[in-house]
Amino acid sequence: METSWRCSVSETKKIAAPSATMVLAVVIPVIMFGGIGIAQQAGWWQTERGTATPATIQTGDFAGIYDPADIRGSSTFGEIETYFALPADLIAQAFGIRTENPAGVTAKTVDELYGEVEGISGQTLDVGTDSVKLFVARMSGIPFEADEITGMPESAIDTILTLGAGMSDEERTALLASAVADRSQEFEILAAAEEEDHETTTTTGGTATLAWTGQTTFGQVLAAGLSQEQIESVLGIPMGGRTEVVRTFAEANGLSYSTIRTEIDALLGQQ
Amino acid sequence: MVYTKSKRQSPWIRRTVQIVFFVLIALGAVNHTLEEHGIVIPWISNASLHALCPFGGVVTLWQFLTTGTLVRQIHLSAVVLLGITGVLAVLFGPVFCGWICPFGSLQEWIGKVGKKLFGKRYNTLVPAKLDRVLSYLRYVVLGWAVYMTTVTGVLVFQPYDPYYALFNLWTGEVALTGYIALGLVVGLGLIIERPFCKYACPMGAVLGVSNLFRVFGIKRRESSCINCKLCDKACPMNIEVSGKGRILDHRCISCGECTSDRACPVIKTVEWKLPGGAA
Repeated sequence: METSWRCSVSETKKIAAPSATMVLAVVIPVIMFGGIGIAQQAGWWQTERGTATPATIQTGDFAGIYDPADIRGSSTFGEIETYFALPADLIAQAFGIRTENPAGVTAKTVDELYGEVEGISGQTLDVGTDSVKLFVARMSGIPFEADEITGMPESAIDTILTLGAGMSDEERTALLASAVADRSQEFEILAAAEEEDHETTTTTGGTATLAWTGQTTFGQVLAAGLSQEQIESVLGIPMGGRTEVVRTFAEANGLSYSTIRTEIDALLGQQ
Repeated sequence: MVYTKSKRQSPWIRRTVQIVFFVLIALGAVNHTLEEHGIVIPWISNASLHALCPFGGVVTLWQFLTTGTLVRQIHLSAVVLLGITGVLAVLFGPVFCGWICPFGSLQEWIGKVGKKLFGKRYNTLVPAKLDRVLSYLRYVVLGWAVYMTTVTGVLVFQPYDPYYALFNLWTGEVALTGYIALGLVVGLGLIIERPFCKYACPMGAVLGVSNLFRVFGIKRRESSCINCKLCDKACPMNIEVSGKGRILDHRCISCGECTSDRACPVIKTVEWKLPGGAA
């Protein structure tokens, strides 16, 4: 009986080594996706933006101050409030934007609402992210050189002249020349967003309204009325920074974004 | 002369990897646009192309190391991808170019059409000497892109980047120069194999350096070589493999087309040097 379990040498099959091509075909995706997986676990896999924190000015009297030039299209007015101490609702007002959630409006939205418009002298001006940068710079007195075609709504110019940090004659002249011809532009941002984006859901909480988008930040969830403890009870881990996008945070930590959203909605509904 | 014939591996092994990465990037680019309209393809990344290209990591590296911030539009994921690509390059050379890069793959596929159209005249338009000199243009592009991006904080290469143009064709964000660059590469791709990789790709320039020190390199064994020059013909980057021992040429993209797995008819003559004797 025992001999029947033995194989003779001639019956043993030689297992061929895999070809280098085959080895590479396996190893390359493994290293690539494995590396991405490790980066996700470490919180380094950030694909939404470089960093919410603007770069600081490196030299001169303003060294160490956040640089308005580094405000991005994806920067929200809430983030600008955090880094430049300018209230988000003031920025929204200056750009004629009426919304229940000014902190969630991005600088890029200004570009979408205005874009290329006619200036007071008949020239074509561009009102967008650069206009927001210029507004922040003149309000806070931080140097910033805007492009010649950067335009500003009259309401923004009025705000700068009334509440701004002061500026040189040259800067004042340039600012006045950047005024757009249409003096009474106002935008109702929520109505437009609801019309265009059917995926956006609105949750009414006890104290505020939370409109979920792919860019909703923890700051906006807090503003909607939840406490940090409540958010962390949903996440099961410490919450990200106020300016961190919930979705990015969820993806980076291997959490289900839709589950988080549903549970936060539920908490808001209970209040 | 007696020699043992090599067992030719299917071209579909590498091609499958290329297709997978091409489809992932293409779907990701489409998803990024769809997201702005509130639609998301499940399980597919909706990150911007800047987030999924290791060259973003190259142009932002200096700023990242000195200030901890990133060049506008660049994301931390690009630095991560640069790191992973670097690890792959140290191990196997520029496999990112030969196996992963969707734009390299596209040029390769266009080249298949070119080969059918022009037969033996395909990829012989540029004289070898000139080809070698032009290949250093990649380093000029690399130096310019890195220096200007570092100084200005603006992605200076983007308006001329055919790869960016390809995956943003429908977004309206592509500069005219980008369309022209893409058109040129597609057109030239019909007569020259991988023209952008050969003469202009700054990422290829970075990774090309790894050919000098990669752990597992491609080596030709002179003793069994029958001098058929099939390896030379197979090389998409015009490297004269038959005249070398270990391939240290900065143009090599580690595609392995010259090896005994593919073009070389003699077993263990042009091969990857991998541990355990697998070749």
